[in-house]
Amino acid sequence: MLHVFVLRVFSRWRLKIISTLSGVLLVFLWGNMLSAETGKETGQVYQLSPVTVMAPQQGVEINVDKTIINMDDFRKAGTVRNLTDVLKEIGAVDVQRINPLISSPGDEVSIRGLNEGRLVIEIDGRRINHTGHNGRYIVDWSTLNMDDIERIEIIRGGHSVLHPFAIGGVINLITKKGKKTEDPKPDFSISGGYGSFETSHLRASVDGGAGNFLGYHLSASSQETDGYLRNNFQENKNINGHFTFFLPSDATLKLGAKFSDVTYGFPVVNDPSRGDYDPDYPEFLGTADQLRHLPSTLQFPGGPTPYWDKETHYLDAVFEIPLGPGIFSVHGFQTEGKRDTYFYRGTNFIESFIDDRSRGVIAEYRDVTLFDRHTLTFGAEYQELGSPSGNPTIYIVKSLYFQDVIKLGDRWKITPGVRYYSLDKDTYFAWFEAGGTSPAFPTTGKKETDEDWFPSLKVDFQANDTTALYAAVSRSYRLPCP
Amino acid sequence: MGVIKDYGPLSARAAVFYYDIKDFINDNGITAPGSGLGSNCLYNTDNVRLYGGELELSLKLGDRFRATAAYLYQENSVSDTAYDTDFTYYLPDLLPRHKIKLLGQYQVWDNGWLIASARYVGKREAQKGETLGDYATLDVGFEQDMTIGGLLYNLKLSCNNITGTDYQEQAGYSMPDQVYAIEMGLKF
Repeated sequence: MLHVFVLRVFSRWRLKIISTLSGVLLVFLWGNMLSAETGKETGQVYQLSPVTVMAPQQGVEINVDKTIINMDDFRKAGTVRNLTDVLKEIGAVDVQRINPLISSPGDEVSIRGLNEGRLVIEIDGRRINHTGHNGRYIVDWSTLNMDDIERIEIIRGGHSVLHPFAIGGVINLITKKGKKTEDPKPDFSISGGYGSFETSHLRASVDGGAGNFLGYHLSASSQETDGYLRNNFQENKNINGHFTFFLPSDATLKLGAKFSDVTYGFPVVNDPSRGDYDPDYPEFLGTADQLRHLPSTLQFPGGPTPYWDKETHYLDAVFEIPLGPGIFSVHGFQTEGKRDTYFYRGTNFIESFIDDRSRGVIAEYRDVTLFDRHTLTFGAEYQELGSPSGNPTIYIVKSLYFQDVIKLGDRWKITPGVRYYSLDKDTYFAWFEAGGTSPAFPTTGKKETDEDWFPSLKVDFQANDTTALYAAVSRSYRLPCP
Repeated sequence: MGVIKDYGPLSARAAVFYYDIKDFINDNGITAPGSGLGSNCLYNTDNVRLYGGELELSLKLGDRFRATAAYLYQENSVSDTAYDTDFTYYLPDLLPRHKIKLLGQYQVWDNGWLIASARYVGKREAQKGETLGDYATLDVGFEQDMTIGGLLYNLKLSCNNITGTDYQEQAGYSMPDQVYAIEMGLKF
């Protein structure tokens, strides 16, 4: 019997990251303070972090703040086409796929037990996550190709106030934007591949600059597979373009666009007990896990083909200029996805259209250096998240943040920060809030506002030139979504 | 909190984490049996705690060999709620408590690398109450850079799951045995 309990409390979402295993850190601190004293006696020079860097793989560096993956140097056994192809190889990141051939819309990525609903996924420092309302659609990994990605930065945990709604961590994709050069000769790159299950890809890119005024990156790719499961075909087409204009006063204007078109066949039931069973494909039953933002697992062969066709674009415009002791920037952005879905709902084959859009602007004054000790960042952010064809402003987020990186001597660094959120939400009533006497679907029209301050503190200690320690505690918030 | 330590050819990162989350929105996401309709069950769990540890070890021997081992332990505890009946689940339960990744790279000759990547994933829950067993997979690859006529060529050969392990990363979605791929690139 199905119990439909709909309780949409949407109440305040809070997080405390509490340092319970402080004993472990104290042991490290004590031991390394002693070794630091030894270092002092020998006159060893210390530099403030990050000086202790771990390089676990070619192209991968880990410091006390983040893991950095430089894509030109990164190597793995197999093709690197999408973000999950990279994350699969990174320590302490969980990637759960439904096939190893192409990154699928239903893939899950988690850090510290928290998936995309509680991670922040960013392009050039701005959040791309959707509301999670329309079918739990928050981030579609299949749309995040690596064609135009220079590096990936991963922050584990929610201690950075510079990234909104970070709880499990941050995955930030830094795009290629061309270079400032007088040499007009561009760099070309072409690649192609073929593999099992008729999986293939083609890719081309060009990078360059002109007249010390314009830098550019352009790339395009296609990728397709027949899939392993029955009807689980996929075809991805991607186009990316990034331009940097180098302006007077060391100002820059960066314009970027990522576009992807993904056609994705939903796996259909391939049950040996059914007459339409095809032994050329593996068994697939409707009892399989329900994938995030995909239709029911009860899709069937033989009739119309269940699939979706989705277009996604990511648009960015960033203006930066040195101003006084820091750098001022304004970043406008938009993510929009449009899905035409053809699928079985029960025995009926239906078509649906859903769109999601997140857009906003970030104004930031960063790297403000004061007294050779403080490095300040001030920021304000405005975001609208919703569905253009339905409610375009399910959420309106207004946010302010401040961070100070304080150097204390050569070894200590303290990073206090705080972020303020004011969130206007269009939500709906749970059935019992609406006066119902039994479980029923909710009624719309409920509005709520959340607002509060969320502080963070991180402490780094460079014990000596081979040992770095850190601890962080923070209180975080995220958009209420699945 | 964590530490990064460099021992020369060996470096290490260790970290522990603890989350205390109030009003954890649980996502049922399970469709109604037989109908294909979404149950649309979302509700707040009063309290969810997540905790665990991460350990990464990196070894570099000479200019040719590099290896990495990464271990992840993660655990959760969830306060009871009257709503989690029948087909509900908690996302953290779908993740393994223990996970190990091993990666090795060996430069066999100039600009030629052998690469191997292994993963062990511990048992974990499926959405509908089943427990998925643990598994281990091994991927191998070879990569060669070549400069011919002033052009930089790159060749990649790979085989994922070379041991043919029968496994599922998400319940119900069988993964293939050996998956072969060849890739060729050119830069100029």
